[in-house]
Amino acid sequence: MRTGLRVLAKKLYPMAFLFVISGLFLGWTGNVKEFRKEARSVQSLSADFVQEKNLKILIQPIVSKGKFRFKKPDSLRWEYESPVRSILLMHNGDMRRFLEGQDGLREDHGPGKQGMQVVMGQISLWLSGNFENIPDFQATVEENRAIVLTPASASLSAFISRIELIPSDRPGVLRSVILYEGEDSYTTIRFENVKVNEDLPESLFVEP
Amino acid sequence: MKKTMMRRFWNRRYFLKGFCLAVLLFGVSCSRAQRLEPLPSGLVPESEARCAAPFVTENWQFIHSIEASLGGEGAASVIGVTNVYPERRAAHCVMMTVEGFVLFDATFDQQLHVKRGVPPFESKAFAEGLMRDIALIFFKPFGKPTGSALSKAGSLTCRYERGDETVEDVCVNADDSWMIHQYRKGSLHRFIRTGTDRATGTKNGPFIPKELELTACGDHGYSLHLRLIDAKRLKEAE
Repeated sequence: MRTGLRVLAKKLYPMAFLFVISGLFLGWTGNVKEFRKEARSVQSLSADFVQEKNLKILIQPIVSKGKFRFKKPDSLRWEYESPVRSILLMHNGDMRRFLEGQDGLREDHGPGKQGMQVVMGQISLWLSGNFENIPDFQATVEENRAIVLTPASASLSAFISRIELIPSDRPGVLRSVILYEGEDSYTTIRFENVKVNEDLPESLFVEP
Repeated sequence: MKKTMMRRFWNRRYFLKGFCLAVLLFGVSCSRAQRLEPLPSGLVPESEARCAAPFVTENWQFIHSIEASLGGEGAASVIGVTNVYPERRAAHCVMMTVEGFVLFDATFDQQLHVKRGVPPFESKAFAEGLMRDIALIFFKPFGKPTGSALSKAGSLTCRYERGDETVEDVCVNADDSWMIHQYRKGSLHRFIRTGTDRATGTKNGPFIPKELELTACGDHGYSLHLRLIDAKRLKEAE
C-alpha cells in the first residue's frame, strides 16, 4: 500500500502539470476531431498565468504568478515569478528544476523532480490528440464545453478528485484549469496573453 | 557518484529525519556542540515580559516559503501554511510544493491528527517533529523564567527549565531580533534565529520576523530557512 502511495505521489506531480500544460493546447471545443486538428497546428505557446491555491485553512488564496513557454516536440519552461520564484525546464528529455533560496536560484533536488520526467511523454500523448487514451483518467464533456477529467482508480482519486479545463472564446486557447485535490483543496490557473506559434529561442528551455 | 549522493539524500530515512523541517546551517554550528552555560538565578527587572515578546499571544496564520537542507548535501523548498492558537497551544500546518500540491496537512490540539501525508511526509514521526518545531518557534516556553541576564550589548536572555532535562534560553536583542537555544541533557538541540525585519503592517506589533532560521542538531541535524510570505490574524472560528 505504501509503495502504491509512493508511486502515486510520483505521478501526481507530473499529472498536475500535465493538465495545466496540455490545457493550453487543447483548443477544446467539445469535439475530439477538432481538438486533434488544433493540436497539430500548435508548434509553440507562450502565456502568463495566475495561480490561486484554495485551501480550507487559508484566509485568502495563495496567489502565484508566472510565465509559461512551450515548443514542440518537448521543450518546456514553467516559471513562477512570485511568491516563490521557481523555474522548471525541460529540453531534449532532460528536466531541471530551479528554486530561489537564500543564495539565489539553485537547482532543486526535492520530491517531485523525478516524477516530472515522465511529463513529456504524457504531453506528447495529448498533443497528438490521443485524447481517449489518457492514462489514469476518464474524460467527459459538460454542457458548457468544459472538459472534466476524473481519475479512473479509487487510489488516484484520493489525491486528485477532478480536473476541469475551461475553454476561452478564442479557438485553441483555454481560459483556466481547475485541479481539485479534495473537498477542501483546489487550484485554479488562469492563462493570459496567450501567444501561439511564436519563435521561441532554445536558450529559454536550457538556461534558468 | 552524484546520483548516488542524491539517492542517499532522498533516502527515506535521511529525508524523514532531516527534511521534516530542515535547512542550511547558519551562525551557530551544531558541530561546536554548544553546552548549556550557567545563568544567574535572579531575574532582570521586566525580563519575563520582554522575553515573552517573540511569541504569539493571539491566533495567527503564517505563510512561509521554507528552504530545508541537510548540511551541505542539498536543499528543497516548500510553502508552509501554519495556523497557531497559543491559548490552546494548538496548531494546524499544511505544507505544499511551490506549485501548490499539498504534501502534508495535520493539526495538533491536545493530540496529533494527520489528515494528509504524501510520501515521504506520511510518517507520524515527521508530524510529531514538525509540531514540536512549530511550538518552539511560536509558543512561549512553559512556566516562568528561572533566570535571566542582560549583556553589555543589551541582549536579554531568559532561561526556562522543564522537568524533562530540557532547557530553553530565549534571547531578545536590542535590535528586536531574537534567538532561542533549546538544550537537551545539557547539549544544544535546536537553535532559532531571526532577522530584524518585520512583516509589513506588524511593526511595533508582535515580533513577526520576515526571516527565521531553525537549526536542528544531532546525527540527523537539519536546518530551515523560513521566509514570511503573509501573516494574518485569525478569528477564533477560523
